Amino acid sequence: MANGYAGKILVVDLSTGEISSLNTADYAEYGGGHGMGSAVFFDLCKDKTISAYDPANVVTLMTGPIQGTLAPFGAGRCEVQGIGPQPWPIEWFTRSNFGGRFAGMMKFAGWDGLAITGKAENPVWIDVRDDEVTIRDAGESGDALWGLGTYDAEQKIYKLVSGSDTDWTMFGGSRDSGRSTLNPAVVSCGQAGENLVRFASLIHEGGGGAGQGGFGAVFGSKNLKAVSFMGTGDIEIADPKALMDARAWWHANYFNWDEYKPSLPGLHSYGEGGGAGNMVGGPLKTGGHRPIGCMGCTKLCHGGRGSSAEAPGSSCFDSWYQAQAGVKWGNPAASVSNTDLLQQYGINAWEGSMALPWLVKLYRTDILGPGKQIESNLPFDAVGSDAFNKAFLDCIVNGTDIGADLKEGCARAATKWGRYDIDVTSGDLAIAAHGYAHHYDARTESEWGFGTALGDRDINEHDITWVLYWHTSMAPLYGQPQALPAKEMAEMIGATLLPYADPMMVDFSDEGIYSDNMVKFVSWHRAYTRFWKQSAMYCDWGITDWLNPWTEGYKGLTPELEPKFYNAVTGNDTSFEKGIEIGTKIWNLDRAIWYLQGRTPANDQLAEWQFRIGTPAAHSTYEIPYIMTVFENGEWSYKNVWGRFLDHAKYDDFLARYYKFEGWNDNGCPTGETLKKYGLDKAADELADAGII
Amino acid sequence: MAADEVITRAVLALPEEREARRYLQECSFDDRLVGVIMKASGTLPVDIYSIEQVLGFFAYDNSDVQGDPDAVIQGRRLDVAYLAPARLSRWIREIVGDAALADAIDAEAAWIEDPNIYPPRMRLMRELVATRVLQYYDVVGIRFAADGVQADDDAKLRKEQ
Repeated sequence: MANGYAGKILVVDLSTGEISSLNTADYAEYGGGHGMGSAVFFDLCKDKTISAYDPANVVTLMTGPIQGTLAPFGAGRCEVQGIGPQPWPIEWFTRSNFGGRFAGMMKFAGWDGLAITGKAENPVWIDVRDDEVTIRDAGESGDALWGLGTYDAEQKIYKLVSGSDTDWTMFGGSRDSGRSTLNPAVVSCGQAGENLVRFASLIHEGGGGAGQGGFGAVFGSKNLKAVSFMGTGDIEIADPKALMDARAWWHANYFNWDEYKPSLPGLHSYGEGGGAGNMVGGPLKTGGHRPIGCMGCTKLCHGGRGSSAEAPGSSCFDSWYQAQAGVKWGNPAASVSNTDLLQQYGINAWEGSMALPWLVKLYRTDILGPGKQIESNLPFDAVGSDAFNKAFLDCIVNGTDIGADLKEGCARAATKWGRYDIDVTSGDLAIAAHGYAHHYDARTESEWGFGTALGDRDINEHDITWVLYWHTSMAPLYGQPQALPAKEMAEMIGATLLPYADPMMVDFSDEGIYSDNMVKFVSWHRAYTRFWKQSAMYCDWGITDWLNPWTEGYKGLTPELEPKFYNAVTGNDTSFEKGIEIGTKIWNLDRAIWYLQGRTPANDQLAEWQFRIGTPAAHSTYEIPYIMTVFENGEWSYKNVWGRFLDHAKYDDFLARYYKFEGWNDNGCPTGETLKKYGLDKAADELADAGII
Repeated sequence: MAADEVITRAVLALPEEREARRYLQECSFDDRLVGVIMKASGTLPVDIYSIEQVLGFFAYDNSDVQGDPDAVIQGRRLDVAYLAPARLSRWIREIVGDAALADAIDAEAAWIEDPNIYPPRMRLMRELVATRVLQYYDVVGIRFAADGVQADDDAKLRKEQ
């Protein structure tokens, strides 16, 4: 098929050893990635009420048409789905995503995705070389991968597959000594996954990780250590010239490499700069960066990937997780060495980032420690040191000391310790929703917080926050003017919110965040990200391009960018709006699955502290510029919205109107009519059979 | 582009040893200072329990890379360790107890062009606090290595003291 798809999805049943395939064409209506994964999960996981560790749980690793092509920000993304052990109190059907080479190599091997079900009797790994799929012994009697850290497992698989001693972080030495980019692409769980730590990650090439959801533990529960793809094929695309033209267009307009214009603080084209930059990976022991990040991407967030530096490829919170607990002057190296340990174990950094300040609070208030209400002998007087962080991560992975409870996640540990209500009401345990850590703020950025509550996890989608928090808040910090007046900014963004094209959707005033316009914006945002970011799978840090310093009037390339590459590869004529429509369909399918799992409106609530606390109750707490667009008294302006908190009655009213807008019933479940409108008849039937609708 | 040289005008008299030891102590949970590391990928509140941890917090800041093409293109990072200056000086005055340092932080604001512009203000605060902490170390007898890493023995000694 000359449309970007490989044509088939690999299905591996670890209980029986059966290897089969599905036709991609049967799922192409979802585009790829998340949509396909949801649909495959729906078909293969017959009982959606099972636990994450039930052998019948199905975990999917999906690609889409643009993976492995020259489409920027998309070639390397892989979407992971299944019932996850991390969400609380219900183990939602959930998702994560990682970059690197895995998705592309899967496509080169001739597969659009992988669905894994069952449980192996003993530790195994899956070795895919083009059409040849082998379930191999990962135990001591075989390849001895079980018990290894992720880096070490990857290194060993490199040797097993390629037969060479190539360092997995490198491409080989010189050309004559075998330098090659044809290396296996491996994703594995570490010891955390093997030991069923609920927030265990899947790690690919050091810094690439599916962190949220606990899919490392799902691998562990299936006795699955790793999956490796090695492909020698190629990907046929519909219109190669259109793809090359699109790439040239993007290169000319997205970021002008030859004329750097730091015109305003923090103002870069979306994917060029910013927060997920390279914080640890490159310039350490070996110095400098390797010329590779994710396949096909020019941004190189993971500029250290491929480097033999410490913490290769790690960036963002995997290198910062311990910062919140108070790090002493003169201990910067803790960040690097502990990032390595975190990645080797395969632990989701966000959970640690939330846990540490909360545990330190419990320690400092004499609730936790030797002989205290919560017994612990961890060296809390040395927080921030290498010694503490190793002890902390060790106890989680090994289930010792407080790790026996913490490995279940903070929400479950707090519940067991009788601390949940107290500490989530005070905000000392900063859970946002579903047991996940606070990230961006429901109180200021409702699309993030409300979208998180309505879903299954912290949405982790940095689009509006990039334009309407980051840029707008950096400008006054540097004494610079805003890029655009508030009215022009709202109108410019609003014009791209197709099919609505309504600037009022980005009104973040005290009233605006509960308005019908915000109902519309949250709905649009769920649909936009479900399709364009998670199914077409452009990287979250590549789009959305709403504000661009290198274009006329700062106008970004959205909504032109998204369909341009997708259509060049698929040969379709999928409009931006059509993507929103497909995204809405996928959002409804996910919502139907959650209701089959037992969801109620209570699960759409945010943790209590967000309704009570503007800022933490310390002696001197923080006040930061959190500048967003607001429409007040008939005018647009920029306003610092930091310090406000939510109102229960207004939020509940928002939810009721949101349900109605989406075509859901009073309990928040998609109605049969709504599901059938989107062609989700099977979901409607299954909900009806279960007596839910 | 290297960060501008930071010149502080305050000259702080050496504290008494007893005072220095008190200033170096950690505070209680309720008395902690909360700062935030502003990152494009997320806001990160940070609990600060001691004057030394203020420096640990400021160490995350690289707001001076802004405007430097090489730093931004190659490093692609802009992390602002934000502490509202008035809150920092109040905390140092009321919790740490070092009024001289708090006064200096307040007074230095008068010497810069626009105290509301954060990066130069932060660098002044960082320089003042660092200078002052080194004074504490000097008075108390804590060795501080050139690479900024305290010897374990010294940290242990300080705890015991």
